Amino acid sequence: MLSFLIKRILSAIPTLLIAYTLVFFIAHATPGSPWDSGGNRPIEPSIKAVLDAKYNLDKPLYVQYTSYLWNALRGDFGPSYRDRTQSVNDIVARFLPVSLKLGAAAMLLAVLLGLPLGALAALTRHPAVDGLIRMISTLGISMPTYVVTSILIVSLGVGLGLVPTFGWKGLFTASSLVPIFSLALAPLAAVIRCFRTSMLEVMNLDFVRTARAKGMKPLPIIIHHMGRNALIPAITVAGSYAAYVLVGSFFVESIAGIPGFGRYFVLAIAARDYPVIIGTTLIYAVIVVVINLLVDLSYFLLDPRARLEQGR
Amino acid sequence: MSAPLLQIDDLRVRIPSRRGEVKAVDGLSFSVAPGEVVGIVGESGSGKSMLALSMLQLIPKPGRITGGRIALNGRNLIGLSEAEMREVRGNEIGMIFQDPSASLNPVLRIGRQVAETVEAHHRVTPAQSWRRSVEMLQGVRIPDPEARARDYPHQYSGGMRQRVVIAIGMANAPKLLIADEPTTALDVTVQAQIMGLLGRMNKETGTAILLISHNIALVSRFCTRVLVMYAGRIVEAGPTAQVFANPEHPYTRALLNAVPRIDRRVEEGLQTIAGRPPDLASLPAGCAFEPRCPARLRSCAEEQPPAFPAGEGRFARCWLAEHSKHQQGNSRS
Repeated sequence: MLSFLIKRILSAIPTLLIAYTLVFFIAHATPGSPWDSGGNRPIEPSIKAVLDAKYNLDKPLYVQYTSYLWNALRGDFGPSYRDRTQSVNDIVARFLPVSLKLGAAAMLLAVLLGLPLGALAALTRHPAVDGLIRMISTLGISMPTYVVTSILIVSLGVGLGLVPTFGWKGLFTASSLVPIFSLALAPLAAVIRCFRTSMLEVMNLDFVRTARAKGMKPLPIIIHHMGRNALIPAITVAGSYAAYVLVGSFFVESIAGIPGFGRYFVLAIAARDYPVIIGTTLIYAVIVVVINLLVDLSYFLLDPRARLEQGR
Repeated sequence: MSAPLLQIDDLRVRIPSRRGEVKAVDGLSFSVAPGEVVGIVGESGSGKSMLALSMLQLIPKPGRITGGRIALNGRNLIGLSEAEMREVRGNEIGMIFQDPSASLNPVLRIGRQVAETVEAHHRVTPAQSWRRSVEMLQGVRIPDPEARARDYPHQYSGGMRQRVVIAIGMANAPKLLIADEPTTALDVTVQAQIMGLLGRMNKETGTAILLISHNIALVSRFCTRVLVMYAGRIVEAGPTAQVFANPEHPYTRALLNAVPRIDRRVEEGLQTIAGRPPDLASLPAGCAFEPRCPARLRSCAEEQPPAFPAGEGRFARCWLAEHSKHQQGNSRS
């Protein structure tokens, strides 16, 4: 168990290094420079030269590559070129928590709602209930988030006036409802689909019949015998959604006016803000690695056979 | 004879299918006395397992019991509510299924799986049910039960898993234990150990055992009485030794002939029963075995034979049994 953990953490190092290398060279290979304001007044070449010199952009690429890596390892991701009063660390500290909170709430909603709905769809004797739940799940998978967000804002915000149409006032306010639901819909749909399928597979296995022959009540059988065994695929699916739900969605945050990480990430790319692009990508990569690790750890918790295979 | 523990009368189980209703169990009657060990033999598809599941009312949908009576200690189980049936399952009737590897939940500790059987029927603390679980594991001769109770099924061998399944079936000391092919998935040497364990359980606790098997040798060694099942009916019943030594029904004879024997030369070949088991969705009007029967009479295809008594505690559903009775009667007079 411990050796598995150490092995996985060590294997994350090359993963992160590759992510850094890729994003560094892709960012620098994109045409344009950080100093293009995008307006109709091109920047003075002498000023550009001074700026380049100040931020080491005049040095050869490999020098920039190593010096940034060295600084990043010590926790300094550099200044933002777009907003020079802020460092990347400041930006991450300001924007990431908003996205993390919304994302965590959305994932919690997706799992807490998805598992019971998936189980209900699998176990119900009424085809209509199963059909309704499957329809919700198909809609959730096929509708893009920007459509969902727009529909929610128009219906709940404009139509019913229940939620503000724009802006962010904190997690426990009405302003978080639309982004949470928009973010949750895709993972919710995926969890429902996956859990329904695996419950259907599990419910006819012999040990479930054994449990019924013991005289157990339906709910403990569903939870301990069917659920425990059906959970692993659902957790895997939820994990793959968690990474990108947690760092925030550009569309949801832009449409609902949330000052979040996902939106800032895309804006930084448009502005060729190299340190921000690289820093945020690395954060994203770390989150993906951590979530994958958590998913793997959940296998240990859920399936004793995994302990035997990988624990050695 | 004492009042029967289990009395089944005219039990009918039907499974709707595209080809019509499958008569899995078709007007079947028998009884089991307290502490008795009764065997049920028959080919695959003769309705043995459906009969077992019907006693716990765990027949997979859309199958259902359409008629008859299953009385346990005089109380008819048919018509009980689902909650009342839950009280019977695992408490008054224990059940052992065929494949011990599939019967246990791979992600739960062995001890937990025994303990939850206790918890389903008694108000106990988790510590109490765990202690009972360790006791049961000790009772089925799991070495070092205290420690092994914390293991998972994949850490057990096939024979040990079947011991656990027996411990689960016996955890609440039921009056009746139904064992559906309990040794089919096991090695021969392990089979003997498991049957020895079941025999000991029967003697020590007085639990009656209904052993469902297609293994004639096993049933002949283990059961005092045997029921031969064919096409959802009992075609012959009686004390095991007499039935197997002197079968009345041609089907029983064919079954016995199909048992490979070590003293028979291989060149003689393995005996099989000609033809195939009948389609339970469209049973013939007469005897269901008639198309395969080597001794059929003209009347066999027309009328179903009733159960003719054939000696002490014996009967056979065969027109030949009627004839043999007449002959006995004639010779005596």
